[in-house]
Amino acid sequence: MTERETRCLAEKAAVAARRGAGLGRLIRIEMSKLARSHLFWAGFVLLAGFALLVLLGFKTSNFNALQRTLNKLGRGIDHKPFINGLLYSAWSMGLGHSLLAPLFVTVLFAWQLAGEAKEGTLRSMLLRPISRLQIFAAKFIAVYFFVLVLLVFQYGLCLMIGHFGLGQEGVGLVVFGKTFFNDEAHRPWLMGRDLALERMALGCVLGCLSLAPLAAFSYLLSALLENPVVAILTGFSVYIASVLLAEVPFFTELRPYLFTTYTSFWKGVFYPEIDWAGMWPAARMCGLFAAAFLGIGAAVFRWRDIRT
Amino acid sequence: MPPDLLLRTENLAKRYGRRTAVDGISIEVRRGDIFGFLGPNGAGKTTTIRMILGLIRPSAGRVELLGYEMPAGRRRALVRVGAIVDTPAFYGALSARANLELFAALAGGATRAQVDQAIRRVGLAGREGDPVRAYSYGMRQRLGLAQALLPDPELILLDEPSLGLDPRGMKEMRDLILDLNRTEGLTICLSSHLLAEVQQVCNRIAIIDRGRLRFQGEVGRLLEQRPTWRLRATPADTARAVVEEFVAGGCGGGERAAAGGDGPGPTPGAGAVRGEDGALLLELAAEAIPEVNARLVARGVRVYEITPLSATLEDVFLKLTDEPAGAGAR
Repeated sequence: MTERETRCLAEKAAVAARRGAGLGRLIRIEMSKLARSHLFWAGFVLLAGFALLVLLGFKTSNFNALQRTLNKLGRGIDHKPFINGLLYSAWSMGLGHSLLAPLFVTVLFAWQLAGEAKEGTLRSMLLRPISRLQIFAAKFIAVYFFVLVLLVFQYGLCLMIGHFGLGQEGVGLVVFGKTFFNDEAHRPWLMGRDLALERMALGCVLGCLSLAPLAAFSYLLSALLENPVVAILTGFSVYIASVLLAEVPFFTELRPYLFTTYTSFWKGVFYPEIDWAGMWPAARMCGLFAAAFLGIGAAVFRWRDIRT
Repeated sequence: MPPDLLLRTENLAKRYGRRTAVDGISIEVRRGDIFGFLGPNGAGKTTTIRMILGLIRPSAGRVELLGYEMPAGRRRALVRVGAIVDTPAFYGALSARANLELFAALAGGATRAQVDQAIRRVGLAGREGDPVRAYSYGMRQRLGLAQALLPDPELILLDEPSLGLDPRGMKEMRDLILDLNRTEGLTICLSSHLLAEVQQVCNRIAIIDRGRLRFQGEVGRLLEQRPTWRLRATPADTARAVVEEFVAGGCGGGERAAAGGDGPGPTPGAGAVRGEDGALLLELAAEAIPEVNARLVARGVRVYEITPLSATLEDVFLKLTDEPAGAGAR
């Protein structure tokens, strides 16, 4: 390598380092904005409220479905020891992932660019010497990290509430039904306490990753639309329509093209043996959908006129 | 681009479908100028400023900001540019100081002393800890200016800086702009539809109407180039005919370049003749007056009075913006 080539490489590395440092600084700024916003604390309060609601449900339910499940495992098994903190935590997590997290993710990501555009702060940001792509990337990364923090918080909170509210008596976690399995007909099984904690932690992280296509789609809408309310409603509508379409038998041909078809891969952690090879295609499809939505969103944001 | 030019646009245009918002605007802002961008509401001022700052992509034409082609060079150019576009927008839950620090951080960061100085400069000292949502409109305008001053701009673009301010606030804003220009040597480009503000503050202006540039140059020369004269003479009909012949003969003295505008082309409306209270009002260059007088006398007209009337920017502005689109200077 000649001296000139070496110098050229060094200059390129310096430029890349500066850009990296710029992105890092932007991510920190976005995180500090999030941490100081009402939305941040509202997320924690909503999750805590949801956890308490599920606890209330646990306290008042007669658990007929659980008893029927245990009857399949063997006659005379009483369901009461299984109504423990582990079952509560896993149920809260599962429900939270299926119901609450999509709602949260849609609102958070659809708000980011459209909300700031509507309030004029996006314009103020773009009057500063930073690239639009860096803003686009920094916001996405910061909010995604925030979603991960929320899910980890939910995981910890549910374990704590479960432990103190219902106790963990050592019989483990009975895994059954649609909350845990993608195929409802899967045979229920009993997971040991330590394994359950480990699998739930893994489910928390993979569940967060499975939200990437919805996050990217909502973010694309945010880049495309100037009204955050329209972006959020459109995001919800598309998500719900995709979920419903996937359930309709004569739309089976359509399923491979819907991102919601692939987003439950994280439930694979609740099977007796984790089938990584079986989970990978769905995870990869999630990644591809997310990358496509982000690519289109970045292009739109880069070329869009800021008229608000 | 010459080093004393901080901003130059060439035939800048923006079209939205069939509607043309800005049509071929070419302006130049020189170092040390307080440049006024004047036009009625909806004339295209904000769209032009947004194109200059890279918020909107032009349909045609080019922008050079501090020597960098926009929008390709916006990251380099905006390092030394502060701006308020439309209403200054901030994070309402954060304090003024936190907002200033945050936006300055996006431009590489400002020291605490710089932030303090900007706050003092715009008269918000003592209120910098309050959340911005508690700020009045006028305070937000000041905060917007403080934000534009950070970290260290050479050029400041202000879009309607006095909009929504009370008379005292407007005066303070004018004083502040003059002070920044005089004491810190900042070049300032401001848009406004308030003629008095522009006349009091700016040394050079551009007048834009219906997306087209109608004039660009020094305020004083704009006023000089469109002087109105009152002529009292008898018989009035003959006097009018003489003057109209003079004007029709292309002797109106309205050559734009000679009269003070920066660009080529005739001055719109030069040589116009109107009647008022038994007198004639003539728009002629001062150099044309002796010749008009000589012709009047030669035709037997008795001239009692030819008096210059002092034009205001408002007069000139209204004349320029009343004229049909396309008649203005380009």
